[in-house]
Amino acid sequence: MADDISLRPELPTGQRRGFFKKLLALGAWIAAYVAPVGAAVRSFFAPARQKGQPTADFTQVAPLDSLPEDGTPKKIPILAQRRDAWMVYPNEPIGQIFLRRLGKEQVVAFQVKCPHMGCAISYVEEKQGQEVVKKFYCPCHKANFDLDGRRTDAVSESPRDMDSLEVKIEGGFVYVQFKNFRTGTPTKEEEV
Amino acid sequence: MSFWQRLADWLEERTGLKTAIHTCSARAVLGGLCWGNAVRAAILFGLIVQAITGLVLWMHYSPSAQTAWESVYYIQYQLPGGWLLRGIHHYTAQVLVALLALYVAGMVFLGEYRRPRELVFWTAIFLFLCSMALCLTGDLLSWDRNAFSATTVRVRFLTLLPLVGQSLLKIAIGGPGPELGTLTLTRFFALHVGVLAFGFALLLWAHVALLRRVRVVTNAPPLPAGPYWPAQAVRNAAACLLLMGVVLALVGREGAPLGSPADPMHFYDAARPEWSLRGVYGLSEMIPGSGIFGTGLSWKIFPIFIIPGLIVVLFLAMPFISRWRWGYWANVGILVVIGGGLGILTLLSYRADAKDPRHQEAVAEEQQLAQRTVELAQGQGIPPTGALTLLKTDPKTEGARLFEQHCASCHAHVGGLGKEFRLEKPTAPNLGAFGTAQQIRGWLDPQRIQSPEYFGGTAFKNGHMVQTIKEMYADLDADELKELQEQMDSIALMLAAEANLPHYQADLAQQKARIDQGRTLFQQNCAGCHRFHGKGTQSGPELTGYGSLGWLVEITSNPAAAKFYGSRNDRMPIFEKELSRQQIELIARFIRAEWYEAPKASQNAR
Repeated sequence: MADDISLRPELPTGQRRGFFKKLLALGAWIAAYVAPVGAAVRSFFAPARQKGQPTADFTQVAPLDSLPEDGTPKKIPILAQRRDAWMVYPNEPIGQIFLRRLGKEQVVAFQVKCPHMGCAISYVEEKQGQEVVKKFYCPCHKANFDLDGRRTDAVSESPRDMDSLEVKIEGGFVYVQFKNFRTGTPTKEEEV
Repeated sequence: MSFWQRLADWLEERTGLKTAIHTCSARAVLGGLCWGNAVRAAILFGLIVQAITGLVLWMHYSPSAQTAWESVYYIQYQLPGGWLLRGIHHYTAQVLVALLALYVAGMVFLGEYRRPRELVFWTAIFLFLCSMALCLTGDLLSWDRNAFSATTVRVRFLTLLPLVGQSLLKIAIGGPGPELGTLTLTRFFALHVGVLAFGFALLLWAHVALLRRVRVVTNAPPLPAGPYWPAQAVRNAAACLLLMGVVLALVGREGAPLGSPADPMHFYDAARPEWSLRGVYGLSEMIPGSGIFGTGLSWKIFPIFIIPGLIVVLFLAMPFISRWRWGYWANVGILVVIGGGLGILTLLSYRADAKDPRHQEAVAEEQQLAQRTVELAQGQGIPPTGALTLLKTDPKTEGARLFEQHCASCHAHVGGLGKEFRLEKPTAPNLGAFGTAQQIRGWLDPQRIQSPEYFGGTAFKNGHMVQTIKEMYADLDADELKELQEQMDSIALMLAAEANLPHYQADLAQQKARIDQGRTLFQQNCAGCHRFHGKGTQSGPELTGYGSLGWLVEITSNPAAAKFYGSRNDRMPIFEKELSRQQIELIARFIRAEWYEAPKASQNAR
């Protein structure tokens, strides 16, 4: 079919007019695409600037009595309003924490999420010979932490120790300021 | 002239279709007959299979957090032929990834990247990458626990990138996060069925068109020449049939997997990447997550982005490497080292998981959960809030989880129905077969009541109740003992009737006379301490409706209430302070084994 082209008559070309026409053609073409492409790009990248829920103030998470006094960690869900796209759930878990009671009036809290990639860390009791080792363990990439949240592997998957949260005790109840933190970074920064 | 003949002529006059088909099929295949063409035909066939099955899956799929898993469940378990449709789509995708990897490897071995074939080679590499991207986006769409957890980790890898990482994460999940949600699904879905599927088709078209051009330009068919029809066609068809045979065998072995619905609060502990990414996963494990000399970057950026990126660049550079004298062998070396290395890492990673009991446990737990969800969905239907609601209101699942969190550090749960929880040193009674006559009978036995199964680990070990039972059994001759034991049996049956456990009702139905006898005996002998249906005095716990849902909820809410243990309550928490009424009810129903069970016959779905 390539020989078809040679059958077409040659057209005389006006150089200057041709230049403006080309410019006009390109310009019109681009102009026609600006709005649809612009709108698409804007919506597609919109999440980049969206902020999550603002950090709630201290939330009541558990009665102090309910925490074992020997310092065994207890996993507790944080209940709050949760948003997903256009839906609002009035009272749902938005995250989980570990609480450890260290003394009569002392409690520490950790984010359950692993600082590496956000998997859920679990509390495990492991028999090693006669001794029972109590530790935190993230099963996704096998990171070990001691009960104070410090990394214990020679080569740890986690970029930092477990993320602690602020705690206060009032009237026999434990309050925690719940936050999410960035994953994968060596420094602890809030994820907003 | 027949009708068909005339129709053909009519079409021929207007379209030239007949001539075109004839010319095409009779024309010698460019570059000669070869199995390479058959591989390409199989790849095209795979694409067509994915388009056909994908389109019909699309007709039944609904991407949102409440409906994604649910619609896939519908396809898998209720839509006639749905399991086959989904199975073919799932395994064809896996086979395509493998086929494209082998195809690229084959091109490297044959040196089919040399000028002017660079673009042919590159499009093949991009086809492979595109097939991986299709798998990764398609994987999330089932919205089961594994998909959710694995994808969470995958998109979170973006946060390893400096400056733009956090923004890229949000763009990938389609919202501010921190969890994946409905907008992640819609985004991944559009990428999967739109951008990537179209991109794959375009790449395949470009790949074949470029290859044809190369063959025209090089003009040297080294292989036996022959027409397309039927010499090449038979090879192509055989390759396609083989591909489908492999796919069907895989579907027959095990249908496309569907776990339990995604639950952000119940992360899957055994989440792993797909087999095709296991090598990179293994590589990543060898590199620490800590920071690179105070730069704020993690070393993990190497196995996740830099090394895989370099591998792709290295493959793309093969046409240039080959210009060097030993270039061909260098390329083969690169292929063998990288392919072999990733292969070994893949095997090691699977081996490590197979030997890790904790991993196996998590996998088994998830399988049970998936099965349970399907059982509930089939038996009760799925509420508008989604299948997760079924699990969250299921005493067998959520009740057991709450029991584990709040009860199992003191109470064992052994010997009954549902999940078992064992304790080395229980400090409270075993609630395994709670409310059955056999279990209640232990309270009325001088040995058993003092064992760790009952009061052995509690402050009541030598309490009033234990003393009373002991005294009743003291100094009896054989006949008296036998009579007492029968009376105790009756009391136990009567209390079991109070509990009226759903799975135990049939056993109680035949014991009406003994239950009545037990009631009389209880009023005479026990009501002095245990108040019962408005009679007797209060010093031990009230036993009206003992073991019933209401009684269990009440005693769990506040064991230190006056009608139960009062000030003598031994360490049992007042759960109404930390749990909701609904949660306490779930625990009570779990203890009573009061949950939906599928009739045995209906468990035959694939």
